Amino acid sequence: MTIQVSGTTVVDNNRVFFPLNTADKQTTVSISAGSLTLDLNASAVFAVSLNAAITSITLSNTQASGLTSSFVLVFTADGTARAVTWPASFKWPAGTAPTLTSTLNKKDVFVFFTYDGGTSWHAFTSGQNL
Amino acid sequence: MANFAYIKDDAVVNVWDTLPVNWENISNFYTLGDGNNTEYLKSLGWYPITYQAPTYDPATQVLVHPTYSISGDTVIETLTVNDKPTSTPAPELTEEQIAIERANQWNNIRRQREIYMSQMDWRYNRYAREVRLSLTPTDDVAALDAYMEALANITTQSDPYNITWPNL
Repeated sequence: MTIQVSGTTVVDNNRVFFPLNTADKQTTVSISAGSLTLDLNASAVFAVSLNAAITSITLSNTQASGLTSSFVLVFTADGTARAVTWPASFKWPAGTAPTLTSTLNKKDVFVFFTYDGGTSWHAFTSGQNL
Repeated sequence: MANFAYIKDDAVVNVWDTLPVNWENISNFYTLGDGNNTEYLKSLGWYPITYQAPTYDPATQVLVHPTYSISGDTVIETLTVNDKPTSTPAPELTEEQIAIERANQWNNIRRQREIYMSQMDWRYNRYAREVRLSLTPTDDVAALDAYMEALANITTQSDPYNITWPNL
């Protein structure tokens, strides 16, 4: 079976081809009363101004177990150190969440993915103080 | 003095002076210790510690071994009052040991006397040269002799630990 979209083969002989340069949008999300809600249907890249402590992060539209969901989270510091309580399902290297940058306008970038429907999210620090 | 206690299963797991930078799944955990997040910290098992000062006499007693107990939603630090340890007196010497130490001290005095005496050699030599050359002696040789005689008699003093040395 071959499927083409706008002249580009996306399925050929039952193999799925992902474009190398995808067009995706970055979604800006605000912290509301200590909560951060990320809709994975809306974007795979979330930009957040870290101007308050986060005590709750809610994810929606995670793919079912067996499929992969992933997203990038970009925090921009406001000059004050802020605490972020990550969901218990986020598994950080060595089991400890990273220290966040507090320098004004500096960015911390994190990458997350899951393949069990969000029971466990592998969490990684991609870059900090950028 | 610790300021925070982490409680798990109704037991104090550990106490901290300041909150750790990151803790489990919380980044920048230390920022929650600013006094505005007490209830949130309690929900995580982190409680402030209240210091319970015991009555004690600092001159004779010391505070040791802090213990922590949970009282409602507060952890109380209690210190034990112990008496200050008294210094152990040096063991008394036997008569024989005292005699040996005294003899050693006299030997030290004699060695010191030899040094003082040898320091006069050059002055005697100068006196002899000046007399040979019919010059007026710089030193009063009688004073030198008296000083040397006093040094020679130093061991006639009674207390080797309290010697009065002669002056020239």
